[in-house]
Amino acid sequence: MTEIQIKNRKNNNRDYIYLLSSFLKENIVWIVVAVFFIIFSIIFPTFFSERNLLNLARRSFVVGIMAIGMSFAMISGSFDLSVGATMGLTTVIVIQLQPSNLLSMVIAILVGLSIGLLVGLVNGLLVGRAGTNSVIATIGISFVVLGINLIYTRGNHVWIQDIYKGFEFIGAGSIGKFPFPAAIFLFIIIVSQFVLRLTKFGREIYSTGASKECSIFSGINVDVITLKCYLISGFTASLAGVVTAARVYNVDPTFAVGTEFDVLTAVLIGGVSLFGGKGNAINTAGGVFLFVMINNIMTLSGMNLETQSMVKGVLLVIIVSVYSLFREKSG
Amino acid sequence: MNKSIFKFLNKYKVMVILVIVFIISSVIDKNFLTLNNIKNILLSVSTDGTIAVGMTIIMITGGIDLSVGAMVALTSVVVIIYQLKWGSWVGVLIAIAIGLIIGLFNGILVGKIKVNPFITTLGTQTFVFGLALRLSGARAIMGNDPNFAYLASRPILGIPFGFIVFLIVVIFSDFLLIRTRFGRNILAVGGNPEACRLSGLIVNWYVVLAYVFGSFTAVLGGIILTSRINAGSTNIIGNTLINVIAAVLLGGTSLTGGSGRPINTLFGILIIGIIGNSMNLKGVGGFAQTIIIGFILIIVMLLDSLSKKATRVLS
Amino acid sequence: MMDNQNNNIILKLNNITKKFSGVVALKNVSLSFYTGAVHALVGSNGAGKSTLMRLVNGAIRPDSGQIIFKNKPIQINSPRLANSMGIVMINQELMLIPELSVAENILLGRLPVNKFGVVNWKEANSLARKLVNSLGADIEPTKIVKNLSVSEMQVVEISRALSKQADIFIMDEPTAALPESEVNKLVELINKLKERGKTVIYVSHKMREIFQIADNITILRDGEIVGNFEVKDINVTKVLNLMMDKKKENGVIKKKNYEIGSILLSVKHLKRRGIFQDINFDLYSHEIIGLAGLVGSRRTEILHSIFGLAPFDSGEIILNGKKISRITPEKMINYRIGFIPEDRRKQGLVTGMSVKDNLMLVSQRFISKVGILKLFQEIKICNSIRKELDIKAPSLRVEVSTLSGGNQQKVVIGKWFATKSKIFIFDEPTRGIDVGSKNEIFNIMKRFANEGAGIIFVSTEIEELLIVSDRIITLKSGRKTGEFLKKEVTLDIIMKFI
Repeated sequence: MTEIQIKNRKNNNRDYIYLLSSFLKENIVWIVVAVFFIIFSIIFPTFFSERNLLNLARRSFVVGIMAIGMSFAMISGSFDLSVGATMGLTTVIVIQLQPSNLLSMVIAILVGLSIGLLVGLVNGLLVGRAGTNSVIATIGISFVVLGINLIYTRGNHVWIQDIYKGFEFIGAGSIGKFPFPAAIFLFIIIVSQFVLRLTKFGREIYSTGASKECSIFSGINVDVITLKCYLISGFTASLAGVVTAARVYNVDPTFAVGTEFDVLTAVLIGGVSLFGGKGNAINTAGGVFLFVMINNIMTLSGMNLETQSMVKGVLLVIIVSVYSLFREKSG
Repeated sequence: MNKSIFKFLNKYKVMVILVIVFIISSVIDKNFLTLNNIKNILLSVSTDGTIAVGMTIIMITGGIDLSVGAMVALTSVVVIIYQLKWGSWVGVLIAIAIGLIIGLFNGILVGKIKVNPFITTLGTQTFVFGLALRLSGARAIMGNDPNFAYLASRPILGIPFGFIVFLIVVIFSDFLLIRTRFGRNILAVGGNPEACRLSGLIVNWYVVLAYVFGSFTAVLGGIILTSRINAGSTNIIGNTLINVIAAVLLGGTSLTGGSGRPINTLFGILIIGIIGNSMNLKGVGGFAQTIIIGFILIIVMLLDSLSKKATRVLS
Repeated sequence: MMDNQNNNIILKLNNITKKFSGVVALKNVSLSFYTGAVHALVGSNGAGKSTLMRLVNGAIRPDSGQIIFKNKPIQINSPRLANSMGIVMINQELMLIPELSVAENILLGRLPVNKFGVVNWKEANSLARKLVNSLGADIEPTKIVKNLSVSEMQVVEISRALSKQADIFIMDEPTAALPESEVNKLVELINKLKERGKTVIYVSHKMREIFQIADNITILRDGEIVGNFEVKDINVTKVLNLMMDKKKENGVIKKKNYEIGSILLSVKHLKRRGIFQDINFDLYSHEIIGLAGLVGSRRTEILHSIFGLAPFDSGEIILNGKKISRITPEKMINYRIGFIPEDRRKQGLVTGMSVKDNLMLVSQRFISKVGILKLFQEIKICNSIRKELDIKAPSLRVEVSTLSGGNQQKVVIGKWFATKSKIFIFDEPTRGIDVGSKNEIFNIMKRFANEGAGIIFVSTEIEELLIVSDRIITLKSGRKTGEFLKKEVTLDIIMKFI
């Protein structure tokens, strides 16, 4: 081989190694999921049962759907901590609209989904247009939404008296052995990944999160991007609410309080950066699975809920510290 | 032209708003302007107000502590549990010790490791609340010390003791911030940390201390509340977090740091307290009150960021 | 050269060399600075001035060579250390606390206190007042800094340095943000510093000021010292000649002489209160206009207003005969205007995204169908851009921040390739780029013009403007002062108008 040929081959090899290592780094969450799955299955025999795994699948959709939506907001550089309250209000309203036949079901679902869009709109205007701090603004909104919820229900438990079969299917039905809600989750993952990676909108979301200034210079309307991402985040929260209503038929109005915390943790585990501009739907799903697995293990090992809460709090702090330390290093 | 209106409102808004709110409340309900009611208001703001003073200092350094509500819950549980075992003093001291440790933890994470304070304290909040639940077994525990019970509500020269404690904290912190070198350094650190570093100030330590102080005031506020209800429970948090943040922002402290004053926060919490009191007098339900306070917070934040946006020039 | 200095040498640089990623920024620089003297440092962008300043200030360390301060060899490891040793830098980014008072800023961290830590305001204010007065200024010590004028803020910052017994004051373009009327105050201030035996290292493009204030002048070019004189022994023309490199003309395509085409853009009476006013010019196709001016002439602000990044108060912007209202960058891009901004890293590129994503960031709106990206087409386009601009990158997928400065700039330019833009605005495109890449960029600009585009080119290096532009418009403090055809002017003439 001539010198140039050798050099070219070395360059090519270097390229491949670079591509491979950056691919692994970006998608590391799935490796961790696999490792944890194997370890947990070995240590906890009950973990690897069909019943438990199907249960996990069902649990993961609530957090999962919201996590995908929240990912949009976070990749664009904003936090949305109102998703729990939004989901809560949606579930409560859908239930109270008593979906007992086709028409009332359709109305309930449409009303439910528009709640998420409405909350997203308000968030988007507050944070995008007016430029308020996204954490506090969405916390404030979450209190308002929770308040509306409590007034509407007067603090009382609510339930569907006569549930329509079609609606029941949404929550409890299966396509073969595959639970319908998980199918929704899968669909959302695919669509979201497509949008994020293969559309102009998606690229503009990454750009807005990674460098607001450059995005402005490139003619991207960052306020509109932020607004759209909040709409998505709110929508997925209300979607999760609709499916929850279909699954459990009755809830306490405060049942969803604190959900945003779990969703945030899952999103961060999945590699969406605190600072915006990084992450994708598939990896967020990986983060969701990992999060749900950890939760599951804690329950299976007999840890009570309060301790689980403590562990999750520490977990969030650790993840966030790691992100910050990494950022300091790369400067 | 729009910008200067916002800026003016921002400068004097807290006192103007306080007066307006006070007048409106006196007008819409005749029971408002009674001595008893005023005392109620003073007592009701003592907890959140004390916490808000600490939050003011933290926000001056450009940070925030979202775990204060959970700290109140933990404090009440710890105080009562150890009061039952070893007496009130021990309970109080242990609560303070735990508070200082958690404050140190938050401070090091934000100050030294430079983690985002919002997310960090969100994590701490979950941990602390979980701990409180664990210790209390998710039920309310009654206190057994008649001296400690209702101490906060006891009037000293007509004023509830809890409010006096709050007042002392305000006066102390305000003095510290305005008249001592230490306080001026805190303001400097929040205003331009780079400049302070260049001048040889150890910026990180000021940030850490701010969080320790913040946790301390959260514990103190929790002690006041525990004394008021004579019980330890995790259900008492209510609207603490948004009340506190709203009060601090109403007082003119900026979310981005560098400015703020405890005495203005005092006015801010009085506004929140008066509004809450009026709502009670008018029979507005607790849930609706949550919405209204949430709205107030959002509006205050909007004003804060709109006035900034007006003065910010893009290129 | 310098033989009559009665003053002592306070700082000596011996054979300093500094490289960044293989590119030599400073080569064997040896220099002495004297007490009680003002030492001017001049050179075009990329000559090494800022590297030199940052070395003295402790922000970076030399690869080889020695720094001798007060007769002792030292290592300046950080700006904080430099500060404590008595070396202070005053630059555009003022290190002041906006919400605190003048006195507090001057005595930052060292407010006089009693034994309880309570501040003695009387003493603090009087100390501050004394320092400010000693510099020939008069500012109330209790005034809040954010309400001060720029020159007053400078006084505060210099006062702080004085109070810390600073001996060396590095000033980086100190008059850039000052209105004409305030420049004299700064001159007085610097003279007062001289009287006290302080050393001022003065970095500036403004020859008039330099010859007014400075005692010594050092000229840098491409990282080396090409001249070291006492100001009284030299004149402006010689300095400018030493600064510029005549050899630049080689390797640059000569522009074909098309008839200048139709008007693409008309700017009429553009005004933004307090920033610029009465800006008029026309841009024709097939031509390059150079905007000449010093730092502070507001060229960038004008360009931002044209592109929709900043507002303006009155005037018109006319594109292809149509007046444009409610201008946004998005609109201007749709009208086929491209903008290559000044700050490559923050405004031109999204660090963290790949080369490909950056290249397609703007063009994607023209290429995608129904919002869906056409990946294969994109890869083809990116590869062709890469070839045409000769962008050296291991792959299109690498993060753009891993590329060298010159290649990064090519990516910024390449962003606009597939947009079929007819107007391009280049704001300081050659800053911090090696000579070879600079020539490549000039060639690109000329190619665009040959193909029918109209280009607005901003650079602080007049020589560059003269090489590339067909017309030159001179600007000073936000006003247009002249308009010339290239063949009518020389460097000296331009210097008079800016």
